[in-house]
Amino acid sequence: MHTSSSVLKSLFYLLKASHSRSTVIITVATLLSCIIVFTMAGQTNSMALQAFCSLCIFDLLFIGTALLSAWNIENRNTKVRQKIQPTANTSSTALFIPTQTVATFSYGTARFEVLAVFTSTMLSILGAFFILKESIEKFLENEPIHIGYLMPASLITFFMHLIVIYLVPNQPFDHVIAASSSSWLQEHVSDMFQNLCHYIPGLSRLLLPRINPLALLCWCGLAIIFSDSFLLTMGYGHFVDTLSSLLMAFMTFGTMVPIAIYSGKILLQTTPAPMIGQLDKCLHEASRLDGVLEFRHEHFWALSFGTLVGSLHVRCRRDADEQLVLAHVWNKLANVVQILTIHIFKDDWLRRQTHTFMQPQTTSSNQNSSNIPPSSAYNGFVVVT
Amino acid sequence: MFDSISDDLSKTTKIRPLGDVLHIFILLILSKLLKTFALFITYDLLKSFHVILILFLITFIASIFLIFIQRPFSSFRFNKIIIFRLIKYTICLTIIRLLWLFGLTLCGPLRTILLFEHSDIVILACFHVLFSSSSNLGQQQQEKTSRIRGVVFFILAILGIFAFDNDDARQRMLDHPEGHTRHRLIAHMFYRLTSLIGVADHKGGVILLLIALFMRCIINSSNQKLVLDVGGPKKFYAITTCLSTVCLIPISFIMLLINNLFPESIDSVYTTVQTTLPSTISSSSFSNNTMLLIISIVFLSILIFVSDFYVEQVAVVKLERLRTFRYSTFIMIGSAIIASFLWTKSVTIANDKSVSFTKNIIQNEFEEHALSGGVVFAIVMFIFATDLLSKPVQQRSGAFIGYSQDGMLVFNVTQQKPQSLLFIIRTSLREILAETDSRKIFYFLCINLMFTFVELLYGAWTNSLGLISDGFHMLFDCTALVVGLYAALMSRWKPTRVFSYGYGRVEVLSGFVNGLFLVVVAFFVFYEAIGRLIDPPEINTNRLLAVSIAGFAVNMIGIFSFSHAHAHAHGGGSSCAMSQPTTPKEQHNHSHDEHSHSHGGDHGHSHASIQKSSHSHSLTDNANMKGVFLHVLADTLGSVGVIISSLLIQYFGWYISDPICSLFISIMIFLSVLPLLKDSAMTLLLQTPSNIQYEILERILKLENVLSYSDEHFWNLSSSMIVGSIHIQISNNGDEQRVTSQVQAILKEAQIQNLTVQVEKQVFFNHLTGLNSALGQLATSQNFFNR
Repeated sequence: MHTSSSVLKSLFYLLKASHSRSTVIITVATLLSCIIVFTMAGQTNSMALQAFCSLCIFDLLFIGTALLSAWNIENRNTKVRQKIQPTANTSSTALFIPTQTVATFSYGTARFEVLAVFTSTMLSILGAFFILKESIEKFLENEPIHIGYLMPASLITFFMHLIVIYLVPNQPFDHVIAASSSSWLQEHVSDMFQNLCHYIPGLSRLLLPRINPLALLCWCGLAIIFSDSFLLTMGYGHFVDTLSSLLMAFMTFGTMVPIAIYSGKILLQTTPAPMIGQLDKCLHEASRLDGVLEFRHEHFWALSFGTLVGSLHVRCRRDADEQLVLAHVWNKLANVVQILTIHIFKDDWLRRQTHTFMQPQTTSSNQNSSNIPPSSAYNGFVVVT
Repeated sequence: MFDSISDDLSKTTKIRPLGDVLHIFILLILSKLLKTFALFITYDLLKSFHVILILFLITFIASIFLIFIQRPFSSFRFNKIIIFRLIKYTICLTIIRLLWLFGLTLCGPLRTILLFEHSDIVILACFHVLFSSSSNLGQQQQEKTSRIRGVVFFILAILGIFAFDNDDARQRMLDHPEGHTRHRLIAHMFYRLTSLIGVADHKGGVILLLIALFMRCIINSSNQKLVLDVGGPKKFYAITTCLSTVCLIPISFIMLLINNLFPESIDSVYTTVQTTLPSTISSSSFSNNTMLLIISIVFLSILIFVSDFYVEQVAVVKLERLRTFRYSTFIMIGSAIIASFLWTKSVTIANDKSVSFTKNIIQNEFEEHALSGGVVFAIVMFIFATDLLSKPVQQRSGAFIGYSQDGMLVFNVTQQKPQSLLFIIRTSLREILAETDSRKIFYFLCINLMFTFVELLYGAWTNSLGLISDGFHMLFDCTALVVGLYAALMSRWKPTRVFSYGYGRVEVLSGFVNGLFLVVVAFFVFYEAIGRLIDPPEINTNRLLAVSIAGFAVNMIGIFSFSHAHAHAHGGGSSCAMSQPTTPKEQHNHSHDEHSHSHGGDHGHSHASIQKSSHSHSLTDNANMKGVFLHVLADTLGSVGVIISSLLIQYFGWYISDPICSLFISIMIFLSVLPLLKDSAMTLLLQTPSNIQYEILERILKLENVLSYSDEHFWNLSSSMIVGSIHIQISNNGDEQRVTSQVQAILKEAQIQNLTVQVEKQVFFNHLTGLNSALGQLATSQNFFNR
């Protein structure tokens, strides 16, 4: 099909670009390690290892998000270029400008990143949930666990995960991790570190900054696997394995849920909480402008990370100059809201027309008397017809 | 109950410097050390005497002391209600003490101290964290975090004692309970009970101690008013001790009569006392064992019930409540560790000295209740938990607003009133039953859950692991239904400040999540199937067939009810989208019906349905219901696969058929979920609906005075609602309101309900440049005027 071929083309473009070459290498490495680790996990029969190795799959999704974001940036650039020179129509944007209908994604492709983040976190949450159920079933089945592969597989996962998280540039995830509320794991660790820094103040520079939750998840998972294998060699049996896999699953929940909530809220067309105060201030200022009676249907929502879209209905006085009111309200809001549409309406505008019809002496507005020149303040403009 | 605990924790009394109260501190340490010591001796005594007898003697002597010290009945006003409540309290207290001593016999002193010697504050803080979901203000978030960690540590510690403490010696004792002949009646019942539950002996003791601990907390916190009514904690304590002695008199006499225990036990008393106090025994040769027993019991009762209580009371007043309990717990735990070391050592010394006639008992003692890895872990965890849970909190329930008219302080109490659980359940049930979608999901969820529980119960009854794990699987599937139900409920909520468009999108998101859920399921089934394809395991098909047929029947109910909804939604959708040809939709709907009739066995059909649905963008369908339907469908496919494969295995013995079936099923689930995923993702990505064609916008351009349009955005909010916004540039002599209404009329025809039109003239841009406003986002429309 035509769409799939253009997707392939854009992917091919990504592979060719120099900045994403390391990403490609990492992707291949992750894929390989994923296969290796999962065969090992299948051999060991340990649910805890499987839970830990599902981080590898998350890594793949993480890389996918990074690629998508790179593609999105590229897309935006070509679009800007296209705006400057309308004739240039590269293949990567061909997907999004079909001929028949209006542009398929009128807001551009920035929202793809949000969906990608949401999908990858949601998939890992659901995977953790599945592992929860599997580990209970395994506990009931009571099969023996082979410890041999436990350490190598978990070490491979650990290093792969760290490499992916720190070496793959991933703007959307960086943003979400910085903006979303911290997970319970992060909170507990920071609390513990704070207590520690009470005793050893020298460590405060090292320990007190916010830790990347994904890296933290990895470290804690490794610790759990270590203790799990230790206890298994001590001969404590299945119970330990089930317990540690449950713990891993809960940690994955805890890490992913805030991210998923943050991106899910964007997908649900909501106003981001930090913006509400600023928006309210702007709206309050705008409502006191001359001619503005009230605001209705105020919809402000985040399009993607850091882009706010808004639409607003303004009821204005019957004798107000609509363009002036529009300009003033626009001026107040445009700094906060990046994509803004303001709908100005008046009560009984038909009656007003008859009113002005009967009294032509009143200060004229532009609509029904084209002969009268516009007010003197706007001398310099050229009427385009 | 929780109010009292938060009061306790947030009380900001001045903490005196340690130097001022050092003598009291030392006194506290001493009394706690002695109490630990006394507990160890009590444990030895309990080996040879009955629990009730010992308790009776100890409380009897303690009450004599208390009567002399406190004279509780001298100024006591007899009030019927107070006496009744006192008696109630006393009975509870006696039961708790019995449980405690019995737990001591089962667990040994170290574990008893670890489990039982926690202050009420810690336990109440645990409950407070676990069961009260009051949203704390930002500043207290960190306090809350450390509390939660404390609770987790506490639970881990209990788990450590419960599960990882392999106290094998007790197990042997259980087989030959010579040491327990004294407690025949209760012990026998107890052993029956524990063997019924299936836990080991010392684990039963742990449970008993925990029950006692929680009961103590409950009665202490619920009777705080009673203490004040009687007249102070000391008097209250004296009265209840006396009353509990009275309570114990009849029981202990009955015990004496039944067991007739005195003459047998002299021998063992001698040995036990010798082991615990070897030096005193060797130096002074007591021949009268009864005398020794009485002395030791007096000693114990003073240490455990009298001195400890008084010192604690003084410390609470002088030091501080929190600090007292914190330090006393630490001291108890520490001294218990040291004492258990010394105790085992003294036992070995005694072992050397008197190998001849006390060998059996001593060896038992030496082995049982020693330190194990689990106990060490538990000790560390308990210390952490106590430290975290008994930290003082600066808790204020509301933010200070200002002063009222009377000059009182006014606080903003943000915590909303907690509603009763019954009320919440009733209202949410009414909401669920109000609409067809949620009602359907709810009924099916009920059927599913019932089936699951029947399966689980039957599995537990017949001890069949396959059934139980299948039950868990069903439970897992029910979560998808729960997600769907919640989304269906949520989509009816009113719009709020943050959710300005209402909650209609939740349904789309839940459909997407359900789709992802199915993808995960398909992936794991695929993974498992690949693993089994390489090495097909032997499967016991016994009972599997019946269960899968029952599951299939249950799922068929769901399919029929939901496919009706599905078809209905389609019908509604086609009437809505006029421009869309209706034939592919009907076919799509039909093919789904086919799907459910042909039991998913037919591959061609499923492919056909996918092709068609991907062509006919049926966004008007309810994504949530579709997701639930697909989930039920996948379940049905799963049970069909199980039926087929188990038949094949039963009649032909093809073990490979199982993984092949699951491979097919996983692929089919994946393929059937793709259209749903695509549709809901496109809605979430704000794709322009397909019925907005250029011709509509052309019609706008043809309007009078309209020069051009820009920034046209149209998107589906949910399945039924399209939102649009557009900028329109008109010539200077156009009327904004007229153009707006005309544009609105045109776009209303295209089913756009929520429309925002911004009408711009050249004047607007002049104004903006005058206001020095940013024109970045208006580039296109401005370009038009500048051309």
